[in-house]
Amino acid sequence: MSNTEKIKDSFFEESKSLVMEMEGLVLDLESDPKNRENADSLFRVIHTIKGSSGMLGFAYAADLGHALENTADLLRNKELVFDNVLADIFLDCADEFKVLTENKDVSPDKAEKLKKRIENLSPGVDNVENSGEFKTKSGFNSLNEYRIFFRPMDKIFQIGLDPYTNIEELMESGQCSVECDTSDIPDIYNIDPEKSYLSFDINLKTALSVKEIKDIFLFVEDDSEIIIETLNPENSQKKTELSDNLKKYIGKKDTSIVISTKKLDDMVNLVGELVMNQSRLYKEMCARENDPLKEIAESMEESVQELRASVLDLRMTPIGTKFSHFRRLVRDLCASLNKKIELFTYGEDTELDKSIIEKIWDPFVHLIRNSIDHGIESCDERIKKQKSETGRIVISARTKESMVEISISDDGRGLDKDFILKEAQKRGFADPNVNYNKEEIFDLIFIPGFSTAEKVSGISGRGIGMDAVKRKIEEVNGEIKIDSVKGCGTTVTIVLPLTLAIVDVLMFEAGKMCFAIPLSNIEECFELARYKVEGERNRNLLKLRDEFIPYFKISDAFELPETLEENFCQVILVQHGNKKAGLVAERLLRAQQAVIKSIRSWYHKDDGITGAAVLYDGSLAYVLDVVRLLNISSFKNSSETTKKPLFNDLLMIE
Amino acid sequence: MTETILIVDDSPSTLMLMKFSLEKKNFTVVKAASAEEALSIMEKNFEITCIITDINMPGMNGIELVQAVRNKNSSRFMPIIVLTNPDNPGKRAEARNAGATGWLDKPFKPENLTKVIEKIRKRPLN
Repeated sequence: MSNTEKIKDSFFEESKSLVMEMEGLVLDLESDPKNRENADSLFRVIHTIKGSSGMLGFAYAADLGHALENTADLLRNKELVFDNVLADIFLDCADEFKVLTENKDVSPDKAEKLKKRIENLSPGVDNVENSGEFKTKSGFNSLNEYRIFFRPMDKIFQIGLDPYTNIEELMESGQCSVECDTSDIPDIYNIDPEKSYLSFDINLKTALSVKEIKDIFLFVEDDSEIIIETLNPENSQKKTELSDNLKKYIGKKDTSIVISTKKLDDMVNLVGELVMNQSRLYKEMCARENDPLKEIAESMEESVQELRASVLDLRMTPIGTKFSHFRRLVRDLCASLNKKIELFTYGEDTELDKSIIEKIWDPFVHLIRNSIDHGIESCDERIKKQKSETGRIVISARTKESMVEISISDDGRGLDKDFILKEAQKRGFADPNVNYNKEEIFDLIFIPGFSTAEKVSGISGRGIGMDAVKRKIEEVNGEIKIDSVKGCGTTVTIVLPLTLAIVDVLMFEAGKMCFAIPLSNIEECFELARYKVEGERNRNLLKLRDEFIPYFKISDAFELPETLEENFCQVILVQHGNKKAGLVAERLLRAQQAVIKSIRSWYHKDDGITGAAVLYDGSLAYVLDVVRLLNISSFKNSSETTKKPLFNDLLMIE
Repeated sequence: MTETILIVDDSPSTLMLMKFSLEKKNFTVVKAASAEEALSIMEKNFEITCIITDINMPGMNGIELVQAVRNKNSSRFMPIIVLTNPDNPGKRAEARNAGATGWLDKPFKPENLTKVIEKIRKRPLN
């Protein structure tokens, strides 16, 4: 790669994240137009886009960037108020800037049109560079808004102070509202009348600076809890007073870079190979005595293990980076559907393997579109139903054991389970003689070709969605569940593994080959007498604690010769969602961590193998695709008895 | 109603300066040249609402005065400002532990003195 190409490559990555940041900031400003800090950041981002596109010869983009930069400058100097019109222009420009990532310049006429829109907005924008400076230096002292938390030390009265003095001083300095928290006051028998039990939440609009406010608390600040938060920081100097949390957030943002997944994958692969070679080297060296190389191999081993851990950690990305896309999606769809929706996101810092995030991206968008299009009702309908006019969508993510749970909830019309069941029976997707429970009914939605949408809109609802969503999520070993209450809303919950690259697996042998199953899929393991497995009967079910579970032999499933020497074989009970099956193996080996590599390109995907695990000693094991195997087992079990009899027994244990 | 402030310092010039600037702000000022004298004044004068005292004084020092004032029921919650030396921050903490309400670094400007008083003065709840 030549140097220019390298620069361009990094420019593409950079502009991608800049445009994303720009969108996020515009949306932030739309909900909080007075946020000075966001206006500052917006200016900075646009400035960077303008600068780097100009350097790489994208003249029209740079030109557009220039016009936009001026507008952003007016914004941060409070000479323009951020409104919807402005938001639209910024977002449209952001869309245009997206072509930069494809090595293209913004088209001249589009740039011209956008520039016109910007000019109409604020006549004489181009002269601002001179006049703006003058205005900002005019020394106009505007009001700042602060939130102050004040919990006086409990012995404040005993040193001759009165917290009321401080609060009264604050009240005199501007517009002030004080809320007093009395919940810490003990009951009358335990109260010490000489102690202070109160804390105060104060909202203050004042011309005072943070330092001046701190001065008010001069004699109490050493022992009391005082937190001063600036709600609209007036200048960068005050940033130093921002709460620690915010500081952390800003720090994080500045130190992150964007790397393509492919580069990461290459690196993980390389490190995997390095680990393998290191293990071989280490084994070799362990056998030798008095070799100076032995010590080197040992310290190498340590570094390699650390390297491996940190490379795998690199793949973990906070899911919040993706959440910001949803805000744009919600905004745009709301505009085109004429609905009002507020989006809430929680757990943005939940980390997930980057490749998983990328794979579930489309299903995710689909689910959110569903919520917006079908879930949330129109404003009129909501008012009629006595709901608030603005609908809500809540996306939350959290880590749960070794999985990440993401849920998308809306407070829309919900799903009608009776209607779904009726529709499914009418179209032959559900058995009319079977009693379905709620969960099973909602599961019907995932059947290919089944859609209950009464109206097909341009956005979603052709019934080609939910089955694809489910398939994609299962591809990354995830699970999806729907819960809904008619008239109140729907929640879709997705459970995903933290990472695909490294998995805890159980190793076992069957037919002289080594296999592995992810531990997360295994429910339990038990021994069975050989004759019970090999008995010749018609069905392949075993009974475990009053539950019939289909089972099959691994060696049969992969048409391997059976090499069982002992009289017992091992059954591994696997589970995915609500499906269970027993896999019969010959020998269990051990549980361990494994790096999983894809072998799909040459191995047929439907065979129930997801990949090969590279073990610490460098050997390989096939990793079974439990989802696939479960589908095979239940399929064979229900209808296809004519096929090769893989499974042919009914087992009773206990 | 004017408030009465007791000022304690072994330096007559400091006392004078303080008295002058406080009286300008309409406070009534009572002077004491030592901690002992201050305590005996407090036995008789019940108008005093605030004390300003130096720390380094011959005989009983400022910190001991703070302790003595705190130990009397009649003055347990009396605001006390100690005059501190900025070069010796340890004294400030020591005074605080003894129960001093606030501090003022010497030398000070008259306006800072009234500012500090304003800060610790008990205000009637309205």
